[in-house]
Amino acid sequence: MSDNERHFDNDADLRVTPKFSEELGELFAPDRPIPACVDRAVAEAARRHFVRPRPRLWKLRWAVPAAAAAAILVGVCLWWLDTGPVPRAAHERRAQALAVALPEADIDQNGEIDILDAFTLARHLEAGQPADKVWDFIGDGLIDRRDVDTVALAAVRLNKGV
Amino acid sequence: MESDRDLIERVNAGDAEAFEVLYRRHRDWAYRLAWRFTGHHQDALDVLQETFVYLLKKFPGFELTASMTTFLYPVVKHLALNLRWRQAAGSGNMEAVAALPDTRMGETSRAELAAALSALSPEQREVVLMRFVDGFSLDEIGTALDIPLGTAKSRLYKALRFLRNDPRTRAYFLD
Repeated sequence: MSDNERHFDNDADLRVTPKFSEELGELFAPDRPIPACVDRAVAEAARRHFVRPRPRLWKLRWAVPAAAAAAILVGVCLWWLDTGPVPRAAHERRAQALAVALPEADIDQNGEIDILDAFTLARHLEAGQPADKVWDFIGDGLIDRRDVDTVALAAVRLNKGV
Repeated sequence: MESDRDLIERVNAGDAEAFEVLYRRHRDWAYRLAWRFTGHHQDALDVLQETFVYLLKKFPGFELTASMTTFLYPVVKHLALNLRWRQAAGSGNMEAVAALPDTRMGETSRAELAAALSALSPEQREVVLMRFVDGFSLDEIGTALDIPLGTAKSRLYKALRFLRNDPRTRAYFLD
């Protein structure tokens, strides 16, 4: 017998049988179980209650995405300058290289790199004739208008003594 | 198995899963108690949920100074009675608040037991149920009801004396 059950041991008349507790419990037992939705509601309330609020870094909240946007914008600009219609830096460098007179730039094979080579390459491309891969002066795997421009620029530099 | 105090320590540290363990450990008892006060399934569920939301709001910083059931008993009781009061006030039947909720009257013995209990005062009936259904000690009854130990003893003694002398419930007592 537990301590709980000894309270009225001095009065033998007040000691009850185990059946007393059993039937009292049955008398007041609910007639339906607890639905799972109640468990979920309590669990959800607990999760919301214990979610720690983020530190108030409101000054950085907008700075971080703004910096990211700026970085992206700068990157896009750099990419556009480098790979846009006229990739000037690369174009200039390649034109200077051609000005040193790569034999491949003498497209009409007249012994000189001049503007006629640019025209020859242009007409070749417009006619859809097969292109020689050595004419890829830009180095981007394509032979197109930009290679024509490179040859033309090289011809100009050569003529101006640059 | 972790004790309630250990779980509470974890909950105070922000452990939501520990709270859920605490909830599941005492859920059924709280629901049965709520049902005992309300006599209605949906009302009992509402009280159950409100009880643990009330407990949740105690964290962090909650300190358990008694057993968990001793702490929760008055919470469930007052939430249930407040609910019944609101419903009774709405229906105009304030006597329903003090009435014993409908109990399961399957067998004759249980029906007679229920009838004998209804003859007790609400205070005496309450301590009988706390003692023999909830398993509270007299100290815990006093703490949960916020009454002196002597008062708890007196109520229980008088209730058992009545039931012992009632022919409908005499069989529950040892000779």
